[in-house]
Amino acid sequence: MKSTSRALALTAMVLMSPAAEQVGGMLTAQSAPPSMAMPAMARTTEARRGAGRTLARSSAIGALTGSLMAMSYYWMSEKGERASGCEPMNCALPFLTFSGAVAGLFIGRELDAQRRAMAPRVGTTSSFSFSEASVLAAPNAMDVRDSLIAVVSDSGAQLVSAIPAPKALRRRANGLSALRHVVLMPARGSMVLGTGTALWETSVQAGPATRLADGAVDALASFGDAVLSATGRRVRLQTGTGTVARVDSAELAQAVSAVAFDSVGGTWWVATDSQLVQFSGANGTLTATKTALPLPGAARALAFNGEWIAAALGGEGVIVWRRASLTSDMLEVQRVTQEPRFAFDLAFLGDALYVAGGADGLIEVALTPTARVITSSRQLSFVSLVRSSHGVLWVGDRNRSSVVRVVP
Amino acid sequence: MKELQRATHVRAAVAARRLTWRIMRGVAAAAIASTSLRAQASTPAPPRAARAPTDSLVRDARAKAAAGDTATSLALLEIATDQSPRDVDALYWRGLLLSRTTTLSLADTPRRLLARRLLDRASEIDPRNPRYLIELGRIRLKTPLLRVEAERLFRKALAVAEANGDPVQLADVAWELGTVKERRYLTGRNRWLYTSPSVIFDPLAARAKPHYTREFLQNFAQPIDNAADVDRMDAEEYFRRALRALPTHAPSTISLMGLLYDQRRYDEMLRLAMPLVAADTAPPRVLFAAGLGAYRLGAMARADTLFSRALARFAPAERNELTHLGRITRKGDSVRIDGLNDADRAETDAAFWEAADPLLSTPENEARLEFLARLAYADLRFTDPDMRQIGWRTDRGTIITRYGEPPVVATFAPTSDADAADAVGRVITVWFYPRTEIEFVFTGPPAMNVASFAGNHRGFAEQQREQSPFLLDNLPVALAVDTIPVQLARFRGPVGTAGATTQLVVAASFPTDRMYAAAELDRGMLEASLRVGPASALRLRRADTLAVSLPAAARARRVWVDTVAAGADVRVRVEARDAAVQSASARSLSELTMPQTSAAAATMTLSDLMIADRLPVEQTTVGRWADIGLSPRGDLTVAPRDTFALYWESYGLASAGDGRVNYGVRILVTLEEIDRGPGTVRRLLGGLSDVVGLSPEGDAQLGLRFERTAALAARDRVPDLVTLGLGSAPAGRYRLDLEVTDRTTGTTAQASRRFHIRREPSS
Repeated sequence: MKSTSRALALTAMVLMSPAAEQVGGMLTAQSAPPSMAMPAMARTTEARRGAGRTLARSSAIGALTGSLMAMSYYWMSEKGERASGCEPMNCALPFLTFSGAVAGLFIGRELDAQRRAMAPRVGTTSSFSFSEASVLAAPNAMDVRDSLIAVVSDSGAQLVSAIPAPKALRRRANGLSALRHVVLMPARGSMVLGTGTALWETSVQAGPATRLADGAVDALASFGDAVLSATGRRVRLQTGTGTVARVDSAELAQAVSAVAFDSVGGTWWVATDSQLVQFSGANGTLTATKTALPLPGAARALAFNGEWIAAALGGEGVIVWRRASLTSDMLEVQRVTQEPRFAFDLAFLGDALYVAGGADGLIEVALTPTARVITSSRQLSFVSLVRSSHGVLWVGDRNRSSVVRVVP
Repeated sequence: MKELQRATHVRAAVAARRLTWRIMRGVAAAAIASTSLRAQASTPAPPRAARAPTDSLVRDARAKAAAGDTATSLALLEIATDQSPRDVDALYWRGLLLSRTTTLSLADTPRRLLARRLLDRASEIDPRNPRYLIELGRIRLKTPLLRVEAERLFRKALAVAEANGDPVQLADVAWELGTVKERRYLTGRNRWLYTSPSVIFDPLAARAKPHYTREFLQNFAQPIDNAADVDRMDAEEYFRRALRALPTHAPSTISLMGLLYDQRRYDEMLRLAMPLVAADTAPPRVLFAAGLGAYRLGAMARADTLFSRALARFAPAERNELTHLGRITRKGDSVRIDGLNDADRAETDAAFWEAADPLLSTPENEARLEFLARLAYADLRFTDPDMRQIGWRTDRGTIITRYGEPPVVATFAPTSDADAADAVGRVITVWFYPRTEIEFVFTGPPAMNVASFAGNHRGFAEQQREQSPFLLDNLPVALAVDTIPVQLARFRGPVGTAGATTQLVVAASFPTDRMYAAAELDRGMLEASLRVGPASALRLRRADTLAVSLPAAARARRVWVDTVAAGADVRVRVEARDAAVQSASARSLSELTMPQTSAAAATMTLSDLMIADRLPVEQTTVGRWADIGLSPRGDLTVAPRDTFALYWESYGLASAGDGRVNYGVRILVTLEEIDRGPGTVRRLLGGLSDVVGLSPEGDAQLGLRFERTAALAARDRVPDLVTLGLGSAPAGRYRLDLEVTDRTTGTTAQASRRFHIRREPSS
């Protein structure tokens, strides 16, 4: 009986310990309403509900395991067999039951802490089926066209097959340093690479790379036979190749951080630190249209669908404009700033916008009726790139140095 | 008079309190403190009028503490708390000062106890102010066995701070809570699990047995995935809470940057630092950490700027200590550097970093940036303000500065095995550098960001320092730099207004075949440069861009001629780099003394020997080397059975009276080392035959002697050209010795040059 009391006291001490209080404290903080001065940690209802349940379940399982061990001991041992004289029913059973419960409690707390830490701050957790192919090193840029993916990293450029079980194919343009951007040019059967020193083009099959233009490439995009690259404040449009190549350029007020071709509108978009400017590239001539959208920060990537234009702004989150409102008096713009904490890249898949959130994983954002995070997945440890093609997402995982095919 | 009396009274009181304080630090400290506090507790609150001197005492005490006079400050505060036992300011500042001047040791327990009581009292009187709870939590952090209690106090402080809505207090408390979690994370990350229950990592065995660490980590332990991730995430949440409350809260910014760095989230690091970095008064630690983030992102220019700004913001004494070359040199050199005056030290620093820079043709000095990045890392990850620990001064910081971040880090949980004295109750941290197969082992208390060398590893670190005080083997650009074979030849130059000069001929043979071997490009653009000058002040003298058609069939060659003051000690540095290609960088560094010429004009001397190819140029008499179509060979290598030209100039030959000079020439070519190729057996057998004298190694391959007569005319020199061929001489390294004897005066001068005969691919 004395032993039982001691065990109870021990359990009580454990429950009263500061660490135990921590769990309660966190729960209180989560349920408290956020204030202006100190917004409380926002957790999902799912995570909050799970916490208490996990603790109770782990403690119960621990206690049950302890009891079962004690009962096994009771049936298997003979009375007085043990030198300590611990009897099965009045010693082993209560002790093992309590120690099992305490062990379960600790395990439950650990699981609970993990669950809380892994739970998304906004939206719900999602889980995708995926397959991946390892590449040379952490991918810096990626482009997907048809059945081919081009990836560049600090270790070089590589092709990957865009099939349900992706496979790393050959390396291309070996030896180039500071590879930062890549676009595939299916019409030419080549890929164009932007490095810290020049713009290069090489066949996807074989052969050496050729220098197209000098200067560090800060942004790169392509469409059809045209390549738009940016070096500092200058954008350069090259149409065609060899003797029939036509080159035009334009100078912006600020350094260019991202460029992209909008296949819906048939125009080029150029992002600087404070503006997103639309260019027409008809007949290989770059002409700024009257459309310029204000940006709250430098855009890292741009994405388009039939209804929206979106930009990933790094630490400033994501900004989207409704395409139809560009020509109206009232510009419709929305921002998602809390999640992810750093938006590296983004891509539309149908109506859903997927954001590469780095350590925050792959985030799905719905844009109607208002922009909000729907789900996030932390299956991949560091999502730095995302592209969509043929109904699937292709994701670059920096920590795993891989290209991942994600089916939402 | 009254002022004087008051001052005298205060001085006497201070002296008495100092004495009391010394006694308190003795064995009876705890009892005295307890009695004193009981007395304080029972003392009624003083009338309001008596508070004026207390305020003044607190003010004076804070001034003294700010000036570094902690003892006087404490004595004044003791008077203040005696005088006004319910004055929260006096209680707080005395408690704070006591708390901040304690360490982790048990000997400081009485001091911590007293501090705790004072702060408890202040908290009772002023429960709406969280600063007492924060300091109480900090005391708990320093109290063995009570560290978990610290978190509870910080939580309580957080609740009070939230109720107050004061952003500074909120940020302070959230940061403290974050650091509690961060310390747990720092202890738990990189955690490995013993896979064999009876085996634990032994720091002594790691030193005694070769390959112990590698084998132990491979066979007896395995890493735990995502260890301490939960603590890291919790810490990140707290730091972000602090920054939401106060976006410019520097401690939280730095702590969060540390967590982001561990996850290689460098973009986020930089973005986080921006609000502080943008200000001119940015804290140097934030600038340092931001520089580290930029460096890891490959933004070298930005990293350079941020590091420079950080260094400028450090106090001069701290900056000198931080950048002292002694931390990356051998002990003897370190002592010598200590003995230098400021100007000499600055010059030594500049010469060291210039020589260490892998490529001067890049805008930044990669070696120095790496050094600063290592210091920034040590500062970011091992500095603990609560423990008054400066990261780069710690044992771990020292190793990081010398050898970089370890590729393999393993920490092992404390053990109770009495046989492993270093591991009992302490976390073992193993840093393993596989490339050099060396390891450093540290131990430290759990949940504290504190560790020092385990066992005899301090001695090993010193031993290692003597062997390799500073390694840059983690720097890709340093590893990729190839060597440029260069032939340097010195000839007497014209006498200008600044005095006598030397003509320096620099012939470089760029190894484009190797540099572009892995490059799939149609052409390369090689930027070649020549720098000449005294150490620490090399100047760019020539720069060319060479178009290289790929694949490169032959080596690219370049010959530069420069004029240097006679008698000067100079460094000559040749570099070649194609910024677009990863492996296309190479350099050559030589140190030369230019010969004195003016005073010794009457003495017979020789120029350097120049080995060259002779180009077809119509010339009947031997003129200067450039006039007769000589192209110096940078690589000093000739093909088998090939011929080459040997050119030299003789100075100070005496005329026999008819305007002609007579001299004898003796040329001797000796095979110094046979190139036997890569085969081990062939080299072994060859080595044996060298020993017993069966091989031609050491034999003279060519001996040549002839007499010459030349018209001196108005010349100050006599140029000579000889074409040599070594027939079927074996591949290897040769020495060519030249001796010229003036038949008029009988004076003799010598010169020599080493060259190679290339091995034929089939041989």
